[in-house]
Amino acid sequence: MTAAKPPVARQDSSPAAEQDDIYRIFTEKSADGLLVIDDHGYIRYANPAAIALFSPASGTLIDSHIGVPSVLHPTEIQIPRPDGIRHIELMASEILWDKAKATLTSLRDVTERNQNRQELMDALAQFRGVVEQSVAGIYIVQNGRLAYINPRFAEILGYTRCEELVGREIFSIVAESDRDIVSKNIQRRISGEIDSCAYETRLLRKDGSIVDVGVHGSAATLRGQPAIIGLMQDITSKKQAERDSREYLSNLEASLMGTVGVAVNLSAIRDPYNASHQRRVAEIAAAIGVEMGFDANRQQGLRIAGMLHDIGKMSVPAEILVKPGRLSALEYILVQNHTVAGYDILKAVKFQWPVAEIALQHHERMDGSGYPKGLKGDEILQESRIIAVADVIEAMSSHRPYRPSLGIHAALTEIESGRGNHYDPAVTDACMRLFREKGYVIPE
Amino acid sequence: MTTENPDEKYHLRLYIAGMTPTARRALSNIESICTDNLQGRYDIEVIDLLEQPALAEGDQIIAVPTLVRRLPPPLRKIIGDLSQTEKVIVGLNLVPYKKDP
Repeated sequence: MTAAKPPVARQDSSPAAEQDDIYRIFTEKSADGLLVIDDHGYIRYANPAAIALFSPASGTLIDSHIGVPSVLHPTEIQIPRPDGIRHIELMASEILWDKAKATLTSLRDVTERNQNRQELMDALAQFRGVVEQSVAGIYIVQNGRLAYINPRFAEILGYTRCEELVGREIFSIVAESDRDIVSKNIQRRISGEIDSCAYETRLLRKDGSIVDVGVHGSAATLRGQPAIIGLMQDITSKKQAERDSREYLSNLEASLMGTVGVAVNLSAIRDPYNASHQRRVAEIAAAIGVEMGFDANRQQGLRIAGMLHDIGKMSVPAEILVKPGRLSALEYILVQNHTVAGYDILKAVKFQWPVAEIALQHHERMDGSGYPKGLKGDEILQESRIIAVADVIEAMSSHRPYRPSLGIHAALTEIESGRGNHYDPAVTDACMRLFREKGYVIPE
Repeated sequence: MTTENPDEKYHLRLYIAGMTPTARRALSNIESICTDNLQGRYDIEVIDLLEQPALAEGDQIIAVPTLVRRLPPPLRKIIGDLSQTEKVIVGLNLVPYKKDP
């Protein structure tokens, strides 16, 4: 270090000498650079930190002509060095040095601080750009009011300027029917019960119309106070698409059921008994499905399969179908063929359920004694095992052209006695619960 | 003590390193001070050390912004953003133009 007249260590221990030692320690150990600049702009003293800041090639700053500081208040200067420019905060105060006017100048290197600040400013600018140009609405709610919104949020609600909404009570833009749920969702996040939540709600546009939106907000802190920051999207199109899709599916289902109805009605012209048999089997099968915990879609599949399971009987000569007494072996083969004939009719129809296979397998039995393939147990579709039980229940409990009704009790006894060998035990049990415990009655 | 000729022209050189906010303020301040006090008896040259680093050596510039009074002699220097007019006038020993009585 080179200094023209720094307070140097002294050998004596007088109070003045001790005071000088303290000043010397302060100046030499100071992290800030200290310069004494005379009235002509020449450096008369530089502490080690100042020398390090300037890194002079000569190793000294003394007598360097830096210039008189033009301001006493803090200002920023730059020091060009071979390794780059350092940004320095300069503060000056007027003093006497060797009985002449001089300036004590402190220098603090703020290069990194400035870089950090610039990076922060750049990041903020980028963040602001992202937020301001976001295709999603962005909002901050605090104390029940909109503390911030981006332009897209205003646009979704039909406003041209964000200022029209900032400061507004949040409930003034929520449809009345949704205010309770919005209030609860805000409270749950503010109280800390949950961190974030996503839900759909309905907001009021400037013109009073309703807009469907999806919101996803998280608990946050703004200026030390709890707040919610979130995204909001206009889901009007999505909602309309959902409504259109539901309507389309509903129409499709109605159309399908109408088509099934037409097929059943056509078969009813030729064989009215068989048509009403299929309708009742459909209802019994669906009821068993409910008892076994099938969902609505699977119940519907059972109902449609039930309505069509004997469609193949259209291929059997009518006189055989209504013939009283025993059938000949050939006639029996023709009757048995109705499952395959039904499959051939139904296989071309693209149902969402395996209706053709259900019809094909509804005379299969658990022990393999059924037809047409002699499938066993789990080889048989569960729906076919249900239709099999419903088919026997309906057939035995109804009048037939060739015989009177045998009654529901006889039908249930037949099912019970065939439990496990002919009929699926789970289906049998569900059927018994349905008729015996819940008093199910076959619809007319 | 001012002993200089009040009609003498001032040649000022402002050293900067890029047009930083401080450099911009320094340039604006010196132009304003000269306009108010020197009535056309001056010219200001701006040297950007980012573009002409070698020029720093001639005037022994070790910090910027530095304003150098190159003429009239003696050479004087002041540093900072030049926002305190009185200190600039004193530091450069400028002799304000005096109107004829």
